[in-house]
Amino acid sequence: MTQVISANRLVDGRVVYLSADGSWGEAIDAARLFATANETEAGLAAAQEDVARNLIIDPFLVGVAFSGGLLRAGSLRDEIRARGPTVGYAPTSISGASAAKRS
Amino acid sequence: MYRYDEFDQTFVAARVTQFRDQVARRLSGELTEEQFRPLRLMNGVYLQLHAYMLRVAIPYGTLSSRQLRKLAFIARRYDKGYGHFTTRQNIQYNWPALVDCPDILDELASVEMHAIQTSGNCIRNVTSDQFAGASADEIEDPRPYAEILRQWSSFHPEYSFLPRKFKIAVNGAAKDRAALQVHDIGYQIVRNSDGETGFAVYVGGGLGRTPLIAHKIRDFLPKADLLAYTDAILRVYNLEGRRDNKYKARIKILVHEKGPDVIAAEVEAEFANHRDAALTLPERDIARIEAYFAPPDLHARDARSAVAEARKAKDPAFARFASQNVAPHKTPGYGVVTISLKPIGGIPGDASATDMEVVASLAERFSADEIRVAHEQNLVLPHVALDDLPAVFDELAAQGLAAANVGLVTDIISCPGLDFCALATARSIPVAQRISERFGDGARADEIGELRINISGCINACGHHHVAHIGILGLEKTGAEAYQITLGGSADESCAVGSLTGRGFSSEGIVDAVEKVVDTYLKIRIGRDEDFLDAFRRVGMKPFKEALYASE
Ligand code: SF4
Repeated sequence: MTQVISANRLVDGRVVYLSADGSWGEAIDAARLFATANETEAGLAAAQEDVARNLIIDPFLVGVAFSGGLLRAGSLRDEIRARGPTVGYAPTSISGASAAKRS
Repeated sequence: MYRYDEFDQTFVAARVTQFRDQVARRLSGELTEEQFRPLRLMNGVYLQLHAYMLRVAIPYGTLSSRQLRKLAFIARRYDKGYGHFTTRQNIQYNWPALVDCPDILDELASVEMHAIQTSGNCIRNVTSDQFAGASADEIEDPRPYAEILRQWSSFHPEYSFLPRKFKIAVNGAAKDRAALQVHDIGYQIVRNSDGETGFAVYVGGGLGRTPLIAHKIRDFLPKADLLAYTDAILRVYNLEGRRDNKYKARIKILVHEKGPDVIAAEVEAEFANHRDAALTLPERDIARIEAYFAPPDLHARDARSAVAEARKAKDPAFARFASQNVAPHKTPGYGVVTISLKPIGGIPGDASATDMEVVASLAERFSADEIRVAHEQNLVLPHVALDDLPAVFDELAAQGLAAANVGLVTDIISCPGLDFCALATARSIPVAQRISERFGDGARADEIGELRINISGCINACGHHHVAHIGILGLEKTGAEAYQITLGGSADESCAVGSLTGRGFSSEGIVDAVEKVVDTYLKIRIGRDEDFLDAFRRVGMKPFKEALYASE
């Protein structure tokens, strides 16, 4: 199964993915894909080094698959981590679409 | 309102300085995550799905305008422009950066607020009736006692590492609006035959994996003994609570396993040993704290407001708001106004920074500078003159805050669920939104009448689903969200844990299932006066089960 490595960034807690150049970015689509056990092991070892360097916390593997041209995480939880909350939480969405319904 | 004295101010400031240093040491690598985690949790900083989350304590749900404005400022400056009010009368920010947390705590300290004891196995924020000090049905204001408990329990060395978290609630009206019986300790203010007020003591309630209703272990506790008795309960719990098993560590399990009579006897023995020691509250100390909660200077008005009545006659939206969201005040001519944070299709408990500022401004001008947070995730203006009600309504409506649905089917309690929470097994907010949209804000919701729907995104039950008339629990079943329904729960003085209807429903099916339950209730009720709970208690589960699983 294809996997990517995810973690939370220490400084702000944001969800990040290990990319091909070894940096951590917020887009799952730019994540490095790991296909074999050897690769995954090396990837996790690199992630642990970044834990020790105080860049990230709690790295773990996320199973992924391509669907509709997008990289999709295997579980709903990981998909929500990747794409953000499924609800319009930011105030702009409150004052926009649903403002009329609020009173 | 209670104001910090020099002692409070110094200790909160010292804590911020300490945490600033801890954060710096974590970022520099001097502290590992393992070492740092308990320190950040002690300051209310969790790590959730997408980011850190900061939980700020709002003692017994009472805020001043200045404090609410500061919460709005923090939302805008350090978060994404909003905050989420919780079932523990607290506020949570979902997106703060760790580096900013010390500054946020500094901002909070400047308005006498903090995030201490909002996490961990300690005594958490003491909660209370959101109508305290205002409601017509009140025996006595519970907040002075909640404040005394807060002061005593803050950084209490003996109770900083309890077997598990510990929640206390105090209620001062005959109507229990503080969900006392699902707390570790619930103190209900009562009047005895001599006309003195004191507390009926409930112990061992709680929701989560094992929902249990508290047992009354004492009919009347003199006020002077509040701390001595609380201390006795906590000593028994601290000694005997199951530290070996996280799922059995709450006091409710201890009470359940040993029996309420045995626990009551142990508590009484402990209390008798220490009763006349240092914890007896001198009357002058109670009076000193009570003075902070002195009722605002509301001048008497006509019980009936001609202005409000005239507006009701010509404006149905206002009339609906006045009947649904305004409760009787103890001073004639005033009302207790609940501001619903449950707009149709909105996120229960969320308020934007602008919402908070509008409410703060209204409180300043029309509610003696006070705001309350209700555990149902709404805000309250406790002291509004009925003559001012039209002005208050108009400003709320202009901000989209005038949803007239308090206590109705769309006034849904919902925890953050899988959209935010790292522990969740399913989403709860989208289910709340769809139910809200299904029933809407028109005649149908009015026809249904009082109905409480609560939703939790996992077995931890932060959404209080067990004590809802219709409770919904989100689970994960073979990789998909699944929702169980419980019926007949109640969080008030007739407290009950709801019963499971049967097998669960898919995400697609859950709203239809709730609608079937509601339609069944409408069919079987004797009349509009028989609310959902009464009807359920009369007929039981059978007709609801039949409606839900008829095709099987
Ligand atoms: S009930 Fe579960 S999902 Fe909801 S907030 Fe609590 S822990 Fe999170």
